Amino acid sequence: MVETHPREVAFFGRITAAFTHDMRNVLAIIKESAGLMEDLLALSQNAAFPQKDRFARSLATIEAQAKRGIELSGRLNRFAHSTDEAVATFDLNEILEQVVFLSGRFARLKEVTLSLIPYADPLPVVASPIALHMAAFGCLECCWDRMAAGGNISLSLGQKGQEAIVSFVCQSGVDDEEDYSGWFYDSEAGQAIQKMVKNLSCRVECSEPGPGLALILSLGG
Amino acid sequence: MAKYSVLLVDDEKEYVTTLAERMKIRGLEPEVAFSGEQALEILENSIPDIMVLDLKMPGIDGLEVLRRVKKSHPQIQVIILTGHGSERDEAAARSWGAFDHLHKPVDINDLVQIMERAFRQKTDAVL
Repeated sequence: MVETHPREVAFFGRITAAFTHDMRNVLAIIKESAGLMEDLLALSQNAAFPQKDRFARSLATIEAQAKRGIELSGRLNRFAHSTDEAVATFDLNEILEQVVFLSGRFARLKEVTLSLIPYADPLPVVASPIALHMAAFGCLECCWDRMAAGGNISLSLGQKGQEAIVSFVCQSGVDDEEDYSGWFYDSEAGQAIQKMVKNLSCRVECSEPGPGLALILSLGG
Repeated sequence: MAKYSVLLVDDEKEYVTTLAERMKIRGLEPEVAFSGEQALEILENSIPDIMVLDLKMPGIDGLEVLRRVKKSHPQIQVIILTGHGSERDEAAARSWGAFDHLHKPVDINDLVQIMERAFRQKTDAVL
């Protein structure tokens, strides 16, 4: 396996993980302070308080947004920790769930939705976690760059012999007449993915022949 | 439920004092320590039923506090409440006898329920 873990990436991950810890503490303080105000509001249930409902609604918004921020910082923390080890054993289901979450904003900007069909059992894979994140994101990017707004990319996981398989299927938003396979193997984006996955000892193939666009990422074996 | 004593240990002062205020509203009277060292000093004079303990703190960290507390006062029920504790930290905390391992932020009512359960387990063990 080719080394895909420069020290700079590990350093970036380490610092980011430390900062997400502090961010989480800040958000936890905001959430707890809003909770305290709610408690105090509940204690003064019978006291006259102009605009009480608006105050309570505003507090609920603060709490909900703090909760959202905590989820985001938690995800960023997990992502940062994916640089901890050059090669690790992990469950492919977990990594793909994380990739779908992290890609959500990019997909929204392309007006494309993502759906994930996990494998029923754990799919243990030995690889570089950060490189796999990048390869899966690259596959998604290849898909949504060729899709029209309103499309959906369905990611499904499976096993074929000794290999773990991730399928990226564009279920709508693509032209059924277009030769995506030819495009994928010749395009700069497609070649960049091929180069990237070589380092992971895996491969990406484009569905062929047939309508639509589907990329198959095969790992291990 | 009989009243129980609580020691909250966290270096995030704003967080832990707000948490303490919310517990007071719920009828508890928690003591607060802002470091592992301060928590161990408090234990020299008063022994709480429950300790809610952060893991990542400067100086003596939470795991070390847990280890010392469980050695000297095994009857104290310790609940870990941490920001981003790893699975390894959780496994270590549980192996040292932590009653539970929670992630911040926790719903205050859930935390109080867990403290009550911990106290019940402690009193059941005495009977």
